[in-house]
Amino acid sequence: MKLHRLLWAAMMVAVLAAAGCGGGSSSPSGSAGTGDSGASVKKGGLLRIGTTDGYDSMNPFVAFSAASYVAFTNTYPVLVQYDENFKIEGDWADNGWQTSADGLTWTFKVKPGKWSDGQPLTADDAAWTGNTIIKYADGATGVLAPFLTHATKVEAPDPQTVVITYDKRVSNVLPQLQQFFILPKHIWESHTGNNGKDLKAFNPAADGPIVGGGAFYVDKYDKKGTTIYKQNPGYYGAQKPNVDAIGIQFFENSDAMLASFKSGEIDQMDTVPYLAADDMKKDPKYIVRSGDGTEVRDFGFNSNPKKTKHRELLDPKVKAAMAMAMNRQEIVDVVFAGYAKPAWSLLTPLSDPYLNTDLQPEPYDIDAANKALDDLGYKKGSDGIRVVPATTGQYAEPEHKMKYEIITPSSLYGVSREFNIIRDGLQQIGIEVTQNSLDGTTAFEEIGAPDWKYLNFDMMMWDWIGYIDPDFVLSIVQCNQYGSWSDTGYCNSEYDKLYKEQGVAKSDAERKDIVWRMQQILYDDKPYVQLVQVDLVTAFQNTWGGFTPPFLNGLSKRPWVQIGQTG
Amino acid sequence: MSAELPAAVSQPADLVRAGDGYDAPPPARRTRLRIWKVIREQPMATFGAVVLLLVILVAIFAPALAPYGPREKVGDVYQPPDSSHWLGLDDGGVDMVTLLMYGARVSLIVGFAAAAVAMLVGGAVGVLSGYFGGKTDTLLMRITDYFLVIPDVPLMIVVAAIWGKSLKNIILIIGLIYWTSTARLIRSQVKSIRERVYVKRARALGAGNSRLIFKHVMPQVAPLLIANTVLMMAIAIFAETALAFLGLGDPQKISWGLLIENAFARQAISLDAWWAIVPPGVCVAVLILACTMLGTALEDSLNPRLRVGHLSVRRFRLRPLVGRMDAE
Amino acid sequence: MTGSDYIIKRTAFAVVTVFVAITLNFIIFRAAPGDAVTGERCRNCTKEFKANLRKELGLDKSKWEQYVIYIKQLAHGDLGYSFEDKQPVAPQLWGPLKNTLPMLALGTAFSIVFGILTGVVAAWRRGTFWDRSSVLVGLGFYSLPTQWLGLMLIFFVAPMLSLPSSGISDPFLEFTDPGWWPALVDRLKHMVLPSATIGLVIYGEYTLIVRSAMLETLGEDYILTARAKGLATWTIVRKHALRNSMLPITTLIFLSLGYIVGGAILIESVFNYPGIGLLTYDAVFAKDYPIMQGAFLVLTVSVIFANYVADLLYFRLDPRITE
Repeated sequence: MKLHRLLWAAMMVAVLAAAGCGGGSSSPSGSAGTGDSGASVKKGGLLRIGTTDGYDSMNPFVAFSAASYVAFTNTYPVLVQYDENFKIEGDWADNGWQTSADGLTWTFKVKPGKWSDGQPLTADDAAWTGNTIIKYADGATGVLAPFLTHATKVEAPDPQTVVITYDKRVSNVLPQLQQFFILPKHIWESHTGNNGKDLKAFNPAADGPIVGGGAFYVDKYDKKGTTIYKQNPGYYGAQKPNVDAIGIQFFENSDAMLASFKSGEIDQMDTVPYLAADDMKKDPKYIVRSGDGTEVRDFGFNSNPKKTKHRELLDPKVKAAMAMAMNRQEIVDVVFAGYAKPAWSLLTPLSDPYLNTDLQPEPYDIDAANKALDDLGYKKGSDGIRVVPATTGQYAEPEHKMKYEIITPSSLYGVSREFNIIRDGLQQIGIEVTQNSLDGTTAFEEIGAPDWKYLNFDMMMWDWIGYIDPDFVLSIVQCNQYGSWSDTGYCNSEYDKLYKEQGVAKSDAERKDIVWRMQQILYDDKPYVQLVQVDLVTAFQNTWGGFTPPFLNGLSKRPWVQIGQTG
Repeated sequence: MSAELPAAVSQPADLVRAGDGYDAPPPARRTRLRIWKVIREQPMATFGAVVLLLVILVAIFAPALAPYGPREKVGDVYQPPDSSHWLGLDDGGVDMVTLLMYGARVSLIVGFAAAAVAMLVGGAVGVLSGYFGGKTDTLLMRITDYFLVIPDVPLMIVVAAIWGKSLKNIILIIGLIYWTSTARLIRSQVKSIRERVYVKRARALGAGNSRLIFKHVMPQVAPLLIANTVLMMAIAIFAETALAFLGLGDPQKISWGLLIENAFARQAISLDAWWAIVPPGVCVAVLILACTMLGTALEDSLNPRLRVGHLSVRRFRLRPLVGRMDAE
Repeated sequence: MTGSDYIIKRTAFAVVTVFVAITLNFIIFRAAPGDAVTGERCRNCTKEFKANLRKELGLDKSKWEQYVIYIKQLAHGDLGYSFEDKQPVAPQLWGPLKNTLPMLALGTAFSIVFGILTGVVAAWRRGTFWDRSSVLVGLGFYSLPTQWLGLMLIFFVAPMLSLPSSGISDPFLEFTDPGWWPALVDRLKHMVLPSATIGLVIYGEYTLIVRSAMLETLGEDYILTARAKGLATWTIVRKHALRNSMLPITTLIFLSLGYIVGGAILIESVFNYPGIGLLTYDAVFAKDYPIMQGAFLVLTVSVIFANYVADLLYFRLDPRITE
């Protein structure tokens, strides 16, 4: 039921990046998409979308939920966005931005437009928003601050020019800026009191429509029900939206959403339950579209080099053997009804060319796994469970059986089924595991226990939902992420060094090399065994067209602009 | 030391006839016989006892009776029923009939254990309250009243969500929320027993409190406690099902409630996989019905003057209400 | 004791219980291991950020200080601010409560009507098949797990009668078919299945009450006299037997209302009905403590209040109560 609840934590602050344009002034022609922009798409109408991802807030300084970020992407101007090939293109900014030679100053020319209340949209709004975020980055604006990391100021030398200055060369400026939502200064500037804290307390939806500057604005916000978006007459984009309005209806569970869709009460389901997708594909009344996503289900080991318990799990050979007992194909078939692919990295093909394609998922081979563990000296006892001999030295441990506990977050869809499949596989190689199902926050606390020292837990199963740009998802395994994002306790100074290097790489090619090496390190050390990469599946009534890849939702204004009725 | 007079009575109503001089506790053997009599003679009780026994047997012998393994994938996800799988397969390809048999275990364990906790706590409170009276009574009854007003399902959700959902926690939570009706019931019973002549006589002869409680009060109270425990089982099973449905059950312990929840969370409704949802619910209902019938019949006959609202599953925490099933 | 003594006693009890409930409320939520902040995962949830957040939410103070602040805020009607969206809690409770009450009222009405019908039939045809089966069927429905019955209705009844199986209304109705009548019909259509579920699972209780009240009345001397005098059976039933069961029924309604509001969680989660039960459930899983506390308080106070009314009614029914 609460499938989505924990996704928001991982999906926070969607910093999707593509192979951005380093420091050059050229840019790919972003506006020509390859999706069907449908010449046969009509103007007008109301698009009713059903979703199981709820909003938590409409205040960009408070919200964490993925749904809220989709709303912000569509209702606020952003300098750049992604096109249908997941490459960066200009949104509010014109293609062809300038970078200084040292890479520290970025200059964008922005299009004229108006906010939904008629006020002019100018570079001033960008300057105010950016500088406010920077000013309170350690406090009230902490949620949005990462998108302007290392930025020192945002200036508006004229109403159509935005200049951002950084104090360090940052290799993924553009992907970060994709989430730099520009707010209407005339609405928000009176709420910076209390050292900026008033920004978080302000409810933009308190008095009705929320002033927006994107293709749409929020006309009626209903956190638990249906939120209505209407076209912004002052939208700066050359291509205006096809539909007049969009309604997002929240459903508590997918069956209810499915029932509504089948009875024609909604036009689109933003995620189709996997088990139901095949049946829907067969029905000519519906158009079912599936595509790559960045969610990767993982199996994590406590990789804290200083842990005191079950240190055999720090041995990459043990972990490699265990990986060979994990039946990825069965997870794909049983849990996701085929809408997933085996994975081997935190990254997915959506992050091309950064995904290290030299690596592959470990083969599913019970015999080889058994042999490997036998060779390592972990003999099976009379009960079929392997025994780890006693060790000596600083981290001496008595002899013990290979019996472990796996922590799982209860709201992750299908995680118990995943666990069962893993458990059965491990049982065949003489390892016994039990499941500890906890809700998201408790699970995370247990993983970090005691007190973020990562000493207690053995293993966990969770997921990561990355961005197009690999920076974020690679950052979570750093040593400094203890108590922050780390869910394995992994700490490797060599990896951390490479992470910093890729952050300031001078060219895409250089960055790619570093990122490939980082993935190799993770593959060798195995803090995770990456299980499967999950697809995104959406469905429409067959009277709609103008589709874009499912993953583009929330990365670009194109999905909501291009969609339209055909029938 | 105890002046045992010959048992002059065998009818329950006679327990209430004070001042008879011949009041004496009926021997335990007679009480056990009475329970057996009830079960044999009243159809409701018979049905309840038989069903309960069947479920217990199935639960105990599940490994021998079940056609497949409870973790064994024998086919496709939500495969429909056929001759080799009478109730089809669940969302993991496991045989439903097998799952139902193994599911009986958790339902029964939680039922017994939680009812036992409720019985212990409620029984203790009731005995102390009824026996000592006065300030102890007032205090304990106040506490009982406070427990009564806490909404049960929300409290269970909150506690399970905050403190974790192991089977142990679930049993404790259920038991600690639902002990109140037992307390009240036992209290009334103990109050009337306390006035029995033989008890007064025993006390006059110098018997201490604990001796009186254990030797004279408890045996009288025991049958009613047992009857109430059976009723409590119905409540506990109901509560466990509710918790499992809300995602607060232990996902590794197969229970009927968990089967319903799994099917619900994995699109059984949209895929018309009725075999994954309907049977577990029917099983729960039948077991609850059996316990309710048996417990009610026992309670009625062991203490017919006690006008307690019988449909306790949802409102067991009520104080006595008008309404009896066999008001003839 | 005298009537007014009893009333005063019950009132005092209700007030004290509310206070105990408030304290219990606080203890349950704050005594839990960890607090609302420790397990949070977010982009910049470093230890310093979390420490700041904790200070902001007042979680760094001692439990006693937090308790005092809590009581003070309550006295001002301030239920705190939601962790999730930083907006005040009290307004967020009101809407869902308004959604739940009509649904419960409809469900209770259904159960009373059905209970009276079956109770009358059972008492009238006492000892026969009709009697036994009425009681048995009522008992049977009573034993069904609430959420499972709801699922059965969704599965089998909703498609048959073309009833919506989730939500409280069609949100796009205002675009396609505006006007207050379609809106009302739409609301009622969405309420039917959840209310029917409630009605079915509790009507059995009313059956028993009506049945025994009627049996008692029908056995009374003055009834036998009335019958001997030739009064029509139905008149007897209506004038005496039913009237006698009115008070116990009314008492039962109030006692149930308190609990049903809490039990509505099961129904609302099956039917996606945005009421106070679903709000509580969502808040629990979002670990939004202020909302949880607020909702829990509302539920508890409504139970206390309903019990209080039931106590007064019960006193009316039988002034001989001394307990």
